[in-house]
Amino acid sequence: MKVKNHTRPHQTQMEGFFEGDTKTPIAMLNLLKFKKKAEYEDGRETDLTGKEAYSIYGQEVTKHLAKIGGKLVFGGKISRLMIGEVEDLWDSVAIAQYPSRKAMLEMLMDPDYQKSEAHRAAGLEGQLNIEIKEGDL
Amino acid sequence: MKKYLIGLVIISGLIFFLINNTSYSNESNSFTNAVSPTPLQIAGFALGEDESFLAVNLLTFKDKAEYEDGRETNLTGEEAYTIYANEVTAHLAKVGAEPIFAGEVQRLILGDVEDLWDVVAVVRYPSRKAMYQMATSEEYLESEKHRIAGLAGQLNIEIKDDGKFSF
Repeated sequence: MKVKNHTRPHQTQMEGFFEGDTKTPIAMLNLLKFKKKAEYEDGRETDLTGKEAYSIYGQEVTKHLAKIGGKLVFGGKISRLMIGEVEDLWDSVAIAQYPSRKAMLEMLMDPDYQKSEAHRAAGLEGQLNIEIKEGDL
Repeated sequence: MKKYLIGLVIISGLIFFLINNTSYSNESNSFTNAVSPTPLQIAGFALGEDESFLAVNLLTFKDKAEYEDGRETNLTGEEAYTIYANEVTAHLAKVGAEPIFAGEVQRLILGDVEDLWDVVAVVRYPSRKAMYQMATSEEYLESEKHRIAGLAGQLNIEIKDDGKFSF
């Protein structure tokens, strides 16, 4: 089955984000692929690897999450695939919880967040980001 | 001598071709769900470090449950899998493992996936030995019948459990 990583949502995904219930808690599953070498959009010099740059974002984002009542459930390096096959396996997985999509949007629009986001853009080759409604099966 | 040289040229050409056509590309990627690990995956699992880890399960259910023993059922794939999920919490507890996250997939916010999974479930295991003990016990194998009946396929991704948050 085909799968493709991206760094930004496309138009229909952005529109979909605003539809329906924007007020209930959500969780975001991130499947992340890092660049080998970090590349900042503002062209600054750097020796960082993609993963190192993204990790700066990762450390800073816990603050931004806390500000809107969200938090990280876990984040970790992928060791291997135990079941299934993926042609180009991601590097890491992280899950973040938000009190609502509205809160997530607040975070994304905060200028402090956008400063941190530069490290994300510098380090991330691409990802899947899957919205989940938490709860027992 | 001539045959040997021709063989060498062909092999060199093949190697050259392979090197230039299996280069890393992020343009397209693909994945395949499975129900069981391959022998290679089992070997890799057995040879890994024996420390705690997380298992991230991305699950796709069958429309209708189908039991391997052919029993009649009106259950959907998800309903059959849910029987397994409810029973497995006890099996996990017995080996010191615990579910840490579960939920229904709503939508894709970033990226493209041809066939998005139904559910995500994450479990922490204290060790591989613990997972192996559970997976080979009689009671677990009994519960697993519901898993096989309901599951179309999944990815199971092993994550290092370094601490709350690292990459």
